[in-house]
Amino acid sequence: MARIAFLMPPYRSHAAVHGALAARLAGRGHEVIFVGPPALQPHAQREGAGFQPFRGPAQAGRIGGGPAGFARLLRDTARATRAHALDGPAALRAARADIAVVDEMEPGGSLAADAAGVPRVTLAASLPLRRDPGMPPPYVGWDWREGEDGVRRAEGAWRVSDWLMTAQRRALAEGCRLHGLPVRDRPSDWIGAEGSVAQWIAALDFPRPQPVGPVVGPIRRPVAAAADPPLFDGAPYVFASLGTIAGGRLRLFTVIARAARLAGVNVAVAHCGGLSPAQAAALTAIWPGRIDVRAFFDQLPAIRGAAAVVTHGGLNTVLDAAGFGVPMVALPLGNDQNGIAARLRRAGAAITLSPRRVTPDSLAAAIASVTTDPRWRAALDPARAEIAAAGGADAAADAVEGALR
Amino acid sequence: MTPDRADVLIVGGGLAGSLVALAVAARDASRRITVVDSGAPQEGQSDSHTWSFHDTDLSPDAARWIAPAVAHRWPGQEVRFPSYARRLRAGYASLTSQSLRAAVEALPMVTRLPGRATAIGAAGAQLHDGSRIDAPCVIDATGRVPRGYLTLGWQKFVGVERQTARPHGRALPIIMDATVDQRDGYRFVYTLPFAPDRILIEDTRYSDGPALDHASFEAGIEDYARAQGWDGTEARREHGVLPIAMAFDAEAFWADAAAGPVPVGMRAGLFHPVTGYSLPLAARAADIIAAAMLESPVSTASVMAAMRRFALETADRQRFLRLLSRMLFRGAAPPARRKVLERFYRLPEPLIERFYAGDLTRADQARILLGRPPIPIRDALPCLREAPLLEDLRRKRAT
Repeated sequence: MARIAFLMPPYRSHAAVHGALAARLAGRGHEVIFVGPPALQPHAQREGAGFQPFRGPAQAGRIGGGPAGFARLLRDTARATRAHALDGPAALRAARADIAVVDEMEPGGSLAADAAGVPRVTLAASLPLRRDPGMPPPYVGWDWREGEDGVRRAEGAWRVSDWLMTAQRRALAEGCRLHGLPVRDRPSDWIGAEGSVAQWIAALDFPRPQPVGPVVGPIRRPVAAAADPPLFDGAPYVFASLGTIAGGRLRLFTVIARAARLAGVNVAVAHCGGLSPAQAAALTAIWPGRIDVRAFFDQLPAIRGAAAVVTHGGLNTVLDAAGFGVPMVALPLGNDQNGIAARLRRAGAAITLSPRRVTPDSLAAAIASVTTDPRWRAALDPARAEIAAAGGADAAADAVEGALR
Repeated sequence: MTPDRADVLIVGGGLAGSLVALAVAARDASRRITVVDSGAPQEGQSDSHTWSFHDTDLSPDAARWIAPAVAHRWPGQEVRFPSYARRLRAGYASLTSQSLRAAVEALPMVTRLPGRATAIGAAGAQLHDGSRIDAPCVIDATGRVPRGYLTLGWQKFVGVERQTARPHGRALPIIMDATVDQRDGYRFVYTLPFAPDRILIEDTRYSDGPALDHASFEAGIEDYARAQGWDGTEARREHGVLPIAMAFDAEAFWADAAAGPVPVGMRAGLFHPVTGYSLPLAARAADIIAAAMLESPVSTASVMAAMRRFALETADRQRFLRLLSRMLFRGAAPPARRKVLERFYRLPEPLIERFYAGDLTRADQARILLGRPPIPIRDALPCLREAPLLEDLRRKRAT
């Protein structure tokens, strides 16, 4: 049995995916350890994995906050990568890792594994970073464009992206020189030899000449057998969540609640701890008895039972909804959500609205459309079929074990 | 062999004295040597000690005779700063109090005599028990820095060798990890991985005063270890206050020392003015002494002449290093010291190696000062001259 290390950016959405894979591998008798700076420790604890620390940031880079916030995020990202590059190799040796599962979004983790001589598998928990022709960077919300023109546009976008990521690229180059590795300074340079184990499925992706690696679909823990009673006593409802990072957007939640009232459909709102009790109460008061506001729901059953999902378009929520064939209205807020929204539009799998311009009226119209027009659900059939066959956490665990041999 | 019939009497069994014994024995195995070793810590020292050197610090000869005393070797080392980290290619090695003592005790013609000297002269030493040892050649390796002739800053450290519960994962020494919080001047952590589950963690600070606040250093070490998950127990501890030289009146020191025993090591101000490290110069001095003993009949006077020549040359060569120390301590505010060092470690590796060995060329010196100066010219100018500090020292010695 092997000792398997997991390295990732310290965000709940990433940690949940690694945690589900770790749990599956632990179930097969392996030892699982999260390896990272102090910011990762609470995630390791929640996911029930061991933890091997090294010196580095105590907090995750904060997302949001306009241009100044973006500059800060770039700096924090570079700082986390540098910590991995400097102290990650010793931590992997200390953890006596036989193999490392490294998130594509923390290339410093891959650098650390190579420097420590630990074999690794990369995991694309978010949109895959591989730069196929015409594929723009994940956080760009452009619609797909065919041909040379699209290829040139994507290349331009990557140049800007590389420039923005200068600090992180510097950290990677420095780490390579420090450990005597050939210099690779772009995150996509660190994709594993066999490609990445990817959550994002081909049916919802822009066209790629070949798969990015083993595409396994959503990597989740099994749903508990004793599920909670159905929401709203089995009456139709919309499930709304803006993810763990944007959980505090009271204005947007208010728009969602008003839209649900206009559309005449119950709504379950998961704010992921981003709202105060008073704010949550104010939200409930918009339509008493028809709005159920909680920090977290048991998300898989909540999505499975929903007539539609209103989402920020985070990759995990989108894949879960697609897997159950639940139509979506996406309000992309940032990160790779713009790229995901563009892919959903191309697949005809969701209505996407700008969170800045959305009104209760426009959102009510969108909710009414996706809940009443059966074509939205039908458009998800290929995605649902692909996810059902992709294998999820088991297939991901197979890929990791395959790399062990 | 009785200790009172020695050819060479070395007072002080620390680094400098032990290296003299090793070097002399390596050149002429018939030489009878007595080392008086108090075994007790001298000012600014502790019982247990680690001395390190870069392979490039030593002559091939010295590398050979020091080998039996080496406890650990590594194929390289690293330095780390907030925005710059690099691996240095020069091999690194450490001696410990134990390995050094064992190497000296293994020499057939060397007698280690536990004891403390109450008086040392050119012809012998008086011990605390009233006995006297006479020898044609007497070496003073007692380690006390001749403070009256030096203007000093301080590099203070507390080191804890930790037995870790699980492997710590470090393979190479990090001779300067300055990514830590800055406190009390310029602060860095120095780590030597002795074994997969053994690591020496030293909290080191370049401070204006020599006072050592143990609690603060211990907290620094504990923070560093905890952040890496190095749980474990303390196996050994050492501490020290190393001098950093900003001015040295070597002429006056050697003039005043002329009638006494031959001073070596810290006692002779023979240390690296910027880093406080004494091993490279102690090894060279030991070689000089061993060579002098081959040339003429062994006497304090003949060895003194050779040492004096070597030491004055060294002090002259170190002029530039003392300038760097002045810039570091007098030109740079404590928080700016880290920037000065970080900039230095970006320079080419051969230059860094020559810096540690104390062999900077004129081109190296220009390279360090020119380009983007390490500190603003306005702050650097008042540090340029050593003379005002020497004048101060002379005045103080006179009163």
